[in-house]
Formats: sequence, C-alpha cells, structure tokens
Amino acid sequence: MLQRIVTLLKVLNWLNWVVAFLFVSCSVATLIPPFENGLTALMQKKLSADQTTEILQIGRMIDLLLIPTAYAVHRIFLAIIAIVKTAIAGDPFITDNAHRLRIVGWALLAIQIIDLFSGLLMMRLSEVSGEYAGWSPAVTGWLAALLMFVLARIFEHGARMRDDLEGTV
Amino acid sequence: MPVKVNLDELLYQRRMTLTELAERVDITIANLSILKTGKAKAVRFSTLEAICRELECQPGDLLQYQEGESE
Repeated sequence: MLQRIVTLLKVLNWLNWVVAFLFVSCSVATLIPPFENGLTALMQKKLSADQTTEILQIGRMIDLLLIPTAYAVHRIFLAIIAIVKTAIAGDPFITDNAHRLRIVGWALLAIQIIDLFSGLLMMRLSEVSGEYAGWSPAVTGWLAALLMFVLARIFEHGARMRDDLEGTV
Repeated sequence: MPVKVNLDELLYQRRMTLTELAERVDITIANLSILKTGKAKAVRFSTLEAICRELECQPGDLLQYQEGESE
C-alpha cells in the first residue's frame, strides 16, 4: 500500500513538471513570430493593440510563475516520498521527518506568496481586458502551511520523546 | 554510569539465570542484558517492581550509586 503511494507521488511529481513544461512552452511559443502574429490578430478583433500587448505580457509573466511553483511542488513531493519511505522502513517518527515537514511548510508558503503575485497580475489582467480574470486569495493554502509548521514541531517533539524512551527497560 | 546495576550479583546469589528471570518478569533477554550491563538510560517502575518481586530484594539492592564514575 505504502509502496503504491510512493509510486503515485512519483507519477504526480512527474506530471507536475510536464504541466509546467507545457505551460511555459506555450508561453515561449507566443514569442515566436508566426504564433505571436496569429494570436495578436485574434485578440485584436476584440481588443486594442496596447491591450493585446499588455495582456500577452501579463500572461507570459503568469506562466513564468509556474517555474518556481513547480519547483515548490517538486520539493513537497520529494519530502512526502521520503517520509513515506521511512514509514516503509518501519521508523517514520524521526527528526529527519520533522525537517521534511518543515520543508513542505516552506514550500506551501512559497506557493502562497507566488499566488499573491499571480493575484496582482490577474487584477491587472482584469483591468486591462475589462473582464474578470478570476482570482481569490486561497485561505486554505496559508492554513496548510501553518499546519505543516505545527506538525513539524510536534513531530520533532515526538521524535525527541521517543529517543528518550530508547534505552528504557 | 555512576549508578551501578547489581543484577549479576543478585542473579548469582539466587542461582538464577538471566533467561529464567526474563521469563518470570516478562521482559526480553535483550532488554535485561541492557540493564545488566549498565547500558540502560532509564528503568520503569514496573520493571523494578517485577525484578524485586522475583529476586526478593529491594530496589537499593539492585541499584547502587557510585560517586565519581560519571561518563
């Protein structure tokens, strides 16, 4: 069961990079003249030239944010895989796992900060395009990051308590 | 350790083996060996109680503080 979870997490981590690569590739494609011209022509049916340029720039910036996001998600998956592997080995309550949970917390926090930047870009996109681009602050993400830091502390404390018990007859 | 465990002497006096004591107090031989060799970091009251019951001794007979032997 745990081995299957590791496999699933590895697949998800791989998908994370595939999706990030696809989005960034699309973004890069909009810089290639034939694609850029086609896209610009399509957008200029509804929008002005200035609006089109700015919207494309904002879109590219949002896509660029996917690189640090994918890296943060990658770190989360690596940490969880390592934690599950310690469970497979039969000893998950160790200080290393507390450290890994803290990494997950920092990665979640980084994702939330990136989300704030993407929110700012979305707001600008809404202003420029005149259409609501759809962004709202993700409260659960902040709570998840906080929860990870709390869990890391508890794990650390638990591991220390267990170390104390070792050697008790 | 400044606290010496006199389990060896007590076992010898009672003509009892470590295996026999382990069976009587329901503690693994490995754990009793840790206690006997002074490698234990702590002793549970339940362990102390069981050993004292089976060896008919007092905790003071089992544990002895020796000054100036701290590691």
